[in-house]
Amino acid sequence: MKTLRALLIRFVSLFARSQHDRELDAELETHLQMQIDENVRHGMSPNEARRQALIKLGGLEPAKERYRDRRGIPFLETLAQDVRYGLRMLRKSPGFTVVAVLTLALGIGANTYIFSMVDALVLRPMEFPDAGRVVALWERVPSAGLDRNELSPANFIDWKAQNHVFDHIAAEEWWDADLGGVEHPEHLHGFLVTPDYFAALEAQPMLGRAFLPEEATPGKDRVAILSYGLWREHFASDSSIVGKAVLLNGIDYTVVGVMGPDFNYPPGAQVWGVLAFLPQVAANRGSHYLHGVAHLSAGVTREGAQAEMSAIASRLAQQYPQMNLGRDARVMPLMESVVGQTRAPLVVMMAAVGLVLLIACANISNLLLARASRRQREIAIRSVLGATRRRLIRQWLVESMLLGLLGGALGVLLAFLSLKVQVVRIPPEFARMIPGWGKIAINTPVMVFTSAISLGTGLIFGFLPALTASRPHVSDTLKEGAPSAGAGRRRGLLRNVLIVSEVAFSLALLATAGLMMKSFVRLERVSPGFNPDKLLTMFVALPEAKYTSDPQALSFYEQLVERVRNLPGVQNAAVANLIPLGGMNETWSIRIEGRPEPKPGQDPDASYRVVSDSYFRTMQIPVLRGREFSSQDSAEGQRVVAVNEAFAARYWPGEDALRKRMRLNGAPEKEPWRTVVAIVGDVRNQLDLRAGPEMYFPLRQQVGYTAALVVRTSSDARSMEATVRAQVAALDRDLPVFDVSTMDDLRSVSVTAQRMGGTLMTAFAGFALVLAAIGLFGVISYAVSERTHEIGIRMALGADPRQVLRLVVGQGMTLALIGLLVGLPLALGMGRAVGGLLYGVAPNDFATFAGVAVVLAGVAMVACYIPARRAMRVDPMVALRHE
Amino acid sequence: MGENMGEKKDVWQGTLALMVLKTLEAMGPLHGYGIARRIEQTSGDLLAVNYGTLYPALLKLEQEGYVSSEWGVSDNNRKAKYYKLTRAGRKQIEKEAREWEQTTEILARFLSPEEQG
Repeated sequence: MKTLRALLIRFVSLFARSQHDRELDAELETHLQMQIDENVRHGMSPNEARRQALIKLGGLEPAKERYRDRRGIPFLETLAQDVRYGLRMLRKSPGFTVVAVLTLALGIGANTYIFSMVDALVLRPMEFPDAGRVVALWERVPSAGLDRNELSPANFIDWKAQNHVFDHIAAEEWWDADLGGVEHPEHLHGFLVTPDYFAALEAQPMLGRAFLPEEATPGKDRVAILSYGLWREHFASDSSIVGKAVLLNGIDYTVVGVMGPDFNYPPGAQVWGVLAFLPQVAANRGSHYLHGVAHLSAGVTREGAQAEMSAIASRLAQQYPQMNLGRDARVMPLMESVVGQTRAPLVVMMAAVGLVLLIACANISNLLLARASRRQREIAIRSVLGATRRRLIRQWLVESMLLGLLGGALGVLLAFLSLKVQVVRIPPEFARMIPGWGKIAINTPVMVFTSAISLGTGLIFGFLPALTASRPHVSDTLKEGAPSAGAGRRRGLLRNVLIVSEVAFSLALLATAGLMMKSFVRLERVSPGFNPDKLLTMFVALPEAKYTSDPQALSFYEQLVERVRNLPGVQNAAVANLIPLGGMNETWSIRIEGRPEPKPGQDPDASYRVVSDSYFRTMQIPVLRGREFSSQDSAEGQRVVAVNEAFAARYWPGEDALRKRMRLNGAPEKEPWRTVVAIVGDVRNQLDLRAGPEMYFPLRQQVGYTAALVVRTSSDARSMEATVRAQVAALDRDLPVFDVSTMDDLRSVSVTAQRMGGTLMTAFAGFALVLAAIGLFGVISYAVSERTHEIGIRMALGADPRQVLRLVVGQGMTLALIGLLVGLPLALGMGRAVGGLLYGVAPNDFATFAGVAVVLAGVAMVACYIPARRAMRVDPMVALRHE
Repeated sequence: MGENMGEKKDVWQGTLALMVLKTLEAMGPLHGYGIARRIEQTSGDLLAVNYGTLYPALLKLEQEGYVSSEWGVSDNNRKAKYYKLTRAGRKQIEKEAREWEQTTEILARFLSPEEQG
């Protein structure tokens, strides 16, 4: 305590120096006078008395000095001196300062920008009080390569009943919830969850309560919890909402709670209902569609939980081999489950901006080394005047850290502006789905990170120059104009090492950028298997309360397609259960006629599509053989199916698929054989994935209640949105339309990650290239200026200017080539690291590597050529007089 | 400065603080010169206190809250800063005195080993 108090007083007194100095003067003066008085009383003459007093008491100045040391904090005071001095030095060479600060601002800005994303998307996409205990549960089937498979209801129920490692275990499933009773009906992104759900996620509603266990029984499950966003936008933040009713899918639900603004799980959720298993659902072990979350009991580790869950899974596999053979359980941190996809690209980006910053550091180190040579006299004088080496080094480091902080401050500003621009660019309906996206900001953790790297870079780039600069060669330096040869050579070597590393890092960045751009371009050019131009898409979900029978739903779809198709500006329209590139897929297990019953775990399957007659024509998916669906494919008619080429090739290799038969897996009396009537072109459901087996059923024979409407327009697809919506409203005023988009937008969104990655990486690599070029230019210029004398002599002795040119360029290019060689393994390593993110490009793609090496060498050549030309023009007479 | 002091000894900081506190305890509020003189006298003029040692020590005591200071006027009408013991200072005296007694006692045993045998 005492020490702390003393420190505080000392700190405060830093700011009241002059007053304290005056007081001390007065106090010491009194002391001296009293001694003199006493001496006089003892009979000395006044002069003698003063002399004796001074002898006894010691020098006034040293006493003051010791007093001051005790009064303030000497370290802080000299630091303040260093800072003032550093600022003065930076002001004295504005050119250097501006270049260094700008370089650093770009480097630190890029780091801040990427880190703000890493922080929001990877480190803290969601906040749990005790994140380590919240886990995601998956099934896994190693034999089928399934690492994360959804849970089936029966398995989930058994897991819940048999485990002793979780204090809460819950499941969730997708819920299409149409919000009615409001002016504009809206389709909500909803989830049905078991009552333990919020407890497992360590979350509590902001208003009201979570679900009760007894609400998970059919009949009592008409309760809902609203998300903060929904509550605010649709219910005007009504604080008495709890207990009121909302109309969802035409049924009244009682609101029991509202979640807080920070709760966003599953990402984008707007409303939660209770998941109550009907008896037949609870017995279902074959349909895997539940997501599991759980909370570890106190004292249980994740490994422990994994062991127990695996044991339970293997018991269930023995008990139900038909359904569960080879099925294991997987317990992973929920965070990992959430950030799995965003982490890899962001880690690569972070590494890239780290390299950019290192290159920037190398450049500034070089500039400082050059400055060190110019400031040798100043350093020598300071050391003669008694500055210790430590003090000199500190002075230099303070100066570089000042640069770092200035660069950091500007960098934060740049990052802030970049974020502003970018956040607006992602459509909100997609951004909402990315956990943490809304939280990307320059916040406290980001500022801490940025301050740390600002100071850190200051230390890194300042360290070498400080060491070299503070090694004083006093006598040499003070003798006018005789630079010390030894120090010069050491510095030269250092600069060369720095340049080589700059070139090496640049190569790595350029190669990575090249790979990512090439991959992005390839991806953009991929044909999805249909024509995405001028295609408007939207969804409707027919509430089962209102559309009670298949013919009723079918009639709605037929009328809708008919109305839309007859609109002016519309070429064609169709309905499908889902659309390619929409981010969703549905895969069903199937049986092929004439094949033996498959072994457990080796179920044949295919993507499940239900489409109206005009679908293939509207999407412009080629019908390669056979016929399109038509009115003859009615509910009473022969059961038919269309398959894509991949399906035909996988399940009837070397045979003609046409007229072969297949059926959906299930009870034979419910799932009849269906005859293949068409083979159509492959359609990619995801641009970067080759099409798998796909099967299409005619809508009339397989009615669904959620459907996508696709409309081929003659002009801009977006402009038709209102007209098409009006047709839906004309048929059913209460039916909300959702996920309205155009195929072009969907396509563009589906490559967002690649586009952002490629563009950012290219920007970083370009910046690195410029820095490396500047660095090389600086080093060569400096070498030329140091060798002016020598070049002059060579020229005077008759050297050809071109020889001089070759000499200088050769020196620079040697460095660049060494850099390329050193950088190659680094670049290959980076390539491997991004390998998983690439589409259609090998991580060691020769063309890319060769291309960027040539670009880098070319830029290096230019950077050397400019100073070399100056060397070529050296006038021997001027050069010889130079020294 | 040490060589100018003749046979007199400089005081070390740690002990000086206790001497200052004891002096203030005995004499009441006192200015720097008075404290220095009093310490010298008490030591039988074996110690010399110069202001290079005294004032930093006083400052330290003040920062730690054991003494407080105030400007006043001396007997012969000089403006002087008077130092006064605080309550914390009184406690500190007890504590430090105890520690010193202990230290000297221990050292004494080392210095007269024959008593142990």
